[in-house]
Amino acid sequence: MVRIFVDDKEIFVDEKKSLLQGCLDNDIYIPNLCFLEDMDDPPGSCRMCFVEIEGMSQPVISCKIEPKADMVVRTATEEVIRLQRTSLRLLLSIHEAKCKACPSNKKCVLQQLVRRLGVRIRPRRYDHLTRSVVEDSPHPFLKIVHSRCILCGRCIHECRKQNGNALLTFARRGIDTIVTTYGEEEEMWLTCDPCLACIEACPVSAILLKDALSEETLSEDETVQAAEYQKQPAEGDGDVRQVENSTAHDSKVKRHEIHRISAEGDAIEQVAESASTDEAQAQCGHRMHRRR
Amino acid sequence: MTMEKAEKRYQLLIDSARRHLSNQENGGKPMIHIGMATCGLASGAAATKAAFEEALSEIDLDVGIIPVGCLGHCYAEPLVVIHNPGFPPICYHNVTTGKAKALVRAFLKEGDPLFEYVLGAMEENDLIPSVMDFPRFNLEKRVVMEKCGLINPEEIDGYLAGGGYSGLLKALKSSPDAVIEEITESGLRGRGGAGFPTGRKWRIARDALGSHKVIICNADEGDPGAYMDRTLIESNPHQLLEGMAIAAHAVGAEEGIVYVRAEYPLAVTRMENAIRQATASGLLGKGILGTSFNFECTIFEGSGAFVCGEETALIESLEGNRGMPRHRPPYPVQCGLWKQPTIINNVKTLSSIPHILNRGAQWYKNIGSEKSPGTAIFSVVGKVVHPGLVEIAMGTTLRTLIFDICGGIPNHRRFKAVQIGGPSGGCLPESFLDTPIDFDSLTKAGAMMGSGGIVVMDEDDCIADVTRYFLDFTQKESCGKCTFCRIGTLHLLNALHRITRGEGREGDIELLQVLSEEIKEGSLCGLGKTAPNPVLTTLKYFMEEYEAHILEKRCPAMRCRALTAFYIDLELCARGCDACVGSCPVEAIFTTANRKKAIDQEKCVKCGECVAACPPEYDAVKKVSPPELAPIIERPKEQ
Repeated sequence: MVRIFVDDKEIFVDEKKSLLQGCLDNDIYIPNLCFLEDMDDPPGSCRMCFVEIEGMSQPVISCKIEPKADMVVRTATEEVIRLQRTSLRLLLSIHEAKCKACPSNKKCVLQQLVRRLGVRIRPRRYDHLTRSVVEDSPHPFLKIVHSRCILCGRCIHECRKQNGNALLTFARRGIDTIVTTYGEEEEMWLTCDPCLACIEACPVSAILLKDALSEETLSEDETVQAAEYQKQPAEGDGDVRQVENSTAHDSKVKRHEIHRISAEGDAIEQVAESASTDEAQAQCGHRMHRRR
Repeated sequence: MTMEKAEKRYQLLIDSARRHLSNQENGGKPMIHIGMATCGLASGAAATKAAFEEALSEIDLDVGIIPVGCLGHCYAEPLVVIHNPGFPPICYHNVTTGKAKALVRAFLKEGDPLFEYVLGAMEENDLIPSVMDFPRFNLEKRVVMEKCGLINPEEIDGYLAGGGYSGLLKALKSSPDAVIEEITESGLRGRGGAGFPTGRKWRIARDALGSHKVIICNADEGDPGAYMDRTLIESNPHQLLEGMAIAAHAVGAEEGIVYVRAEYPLAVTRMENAIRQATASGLLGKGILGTSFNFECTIFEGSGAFVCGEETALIESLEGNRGMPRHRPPYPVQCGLWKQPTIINNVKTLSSIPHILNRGAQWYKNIGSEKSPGTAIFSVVGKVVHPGLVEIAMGTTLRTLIFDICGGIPNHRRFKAVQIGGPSGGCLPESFLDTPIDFDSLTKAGAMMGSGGIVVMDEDDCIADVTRYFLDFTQKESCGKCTFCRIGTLHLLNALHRITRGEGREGDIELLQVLSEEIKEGSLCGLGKTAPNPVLTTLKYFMEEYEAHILEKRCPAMRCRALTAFYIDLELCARGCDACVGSCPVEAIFTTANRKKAIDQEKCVKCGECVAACPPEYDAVKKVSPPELAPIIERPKEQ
């Protein structure tokens, strides 16, 4: 165990584990998406767990840092938050945020990060892009929803853990990169039936059983509403004001949180962004309720 | 004792190689050397060779034809050097099949060297001007490329006869530490792009604990327009093998892997061939030259992912995984292939090693600049008169390289910019032409040495369009692992697409600037960290071009189709001339009321065929940007 200082708090962490793990063990949350506790060599791919460490010129990802005695770490500097926000906004810019239709709604790590970092679920900084992914997985009962997938690779890690060799893999390049199953022979997938660890591991419900997905398919009425929700302009002051009114009831607490972590200058914008998120979720919750 | 034996064995090899070569020449018969690397073959060297053979069989003359590598003069391919006794060796350029037949008849049979086809003589003489009188040759400093295009890369004899593998012998005679000391002393820096001192890398690998160290030669060259590594392997593979063997001896490795792209089939074949020959001669394999040093070398063919040039992705790929970079540290030199200390050096770095051992660190240090000693090889392409591979001493200015060595910009156009270091590099304007080419100066200017691709642009090239091209490349080649590179570059690319299509928005410049910097900071590997460099440098040096695209919807280079239009100047157009009408693929050109021609802007696809078709004495077709500047002429009503 070594002593380190995180945000002026003295904590003791295992120097054999990563700094991120050490912080999480001490109830200091650092945003992360691709990290799992049992990973020997975390991929470091989500670019979320940035921290600033005294003596290093720029933010570094904490899942790849070995804690050293008396290390001074800051988890919420302006630089760190800026990079985390960009990373999240980029993910959201290609993420199909139809929250109400998604099994991960309300427990989704993206929703949590959206709230924590004060970003819109539909970031206005970047155009929303829809990837055209050609489906090629012949898997008998697993379905990967590429428009939701954030390519964190947790499923591949879990699959490797369960089966020795992962039956899931990354494929293709650039923006077309996807997680997919491979192999043509059905025997390969025999192990999948009792396992399904990948479904468990996915933080955004991008891997599902094929029948689960068909249940989830929206009724015609709701499809239209979902489309409208998508079209709702994220920009424009009027929109924001309206949103602020409608969500006044529960956003006060969260505003407080966001003030704590947001960079000084644009705090107001952040509140607005968070408010719209809340609204989206409130709407989602409402509709779920009604559906029942 | 073993060293004496090794020396003796080496001497025997050299003697036999020399004997072999002189047998080939058979007491001074004429020899024809044809450049048959990929570049030569692409220009038709195989047909040229066949034409020589055919013409020679007709006149029944005993002439040897030897395929050699590439001299680096791409503009003059296919290149042929004819050694005709009584003449100096003469280099001929653009030898087509017709020229080949003419040369056999006139030169080899009748002794007329056909001066009109001569590029120059390969050595000083009284008859024909030497190639060394031309700046394209004499301003170069050839070290690594010294033998390229002069020896037969398919046979080991040519390399051995010129003293090849003597560096390895020298290394075997001294201790590994002394070899590393020599390389450190020479100041050699890695030619793969980042310029890490090679000696230091070797020292770390030597000191690292590991039972199975590996030397990897990174020949996964993928930059658009760069082909230095390919040419070096195709033209002189043994030089690389010697460098690898020396490196292995220095760090204590017994295995070497050449990671070369599968898209370089000729390089792969020649490398395989070279490994076989070197092993047969006892210069590779078990007990090299009778000593206790073992070094096995194999080839691994990469499947054409640009990112596999990044060393950690290269290792993943070698281990059989998808080529995705790992986080560094740990660096491969501490924990690389199969978790063993692994040296990864570029082809040019390893090819420099034999020369340093042969001629000494001090000699090498005297070439180039203080912080970046030695030579650099560039493939200069784009708008230059003499494109090709150029090896220059470090510290040479860009101006010398582009204007003196490569002959400047063709067609009296003006220089606009130069992209150095491929898609990871930067774009520098005219004011940087006097920048010396070395690692530190280029980095300071915002570009980078990269692997050595140089693209020269003139006033007809649109900066935004070129940047879009490079971003398109990096986005497509991103491995998709980290968010910033995978999605961030796409947003950059989309903004550039918009700008070049005339749909640029007000915030686009800011988006490009801010997102580029964040991608640079946030990305996992070198590919992502350098991908925004073209955007950042062009924004810095060519902001006015971006502004013209976005605010005025004007493309200053008149390159972006959506922002240009063609029209026919009615003052210049000749009545009754129909030259342009037939050239138009979409029938956009019609006859006006006074029997002149005009373009229907609705139909025009802006291919520019009419410009080429319009007779130069009229020169009536004009191109304008923004497109609104083109006068609209009504089509006369059908009668």
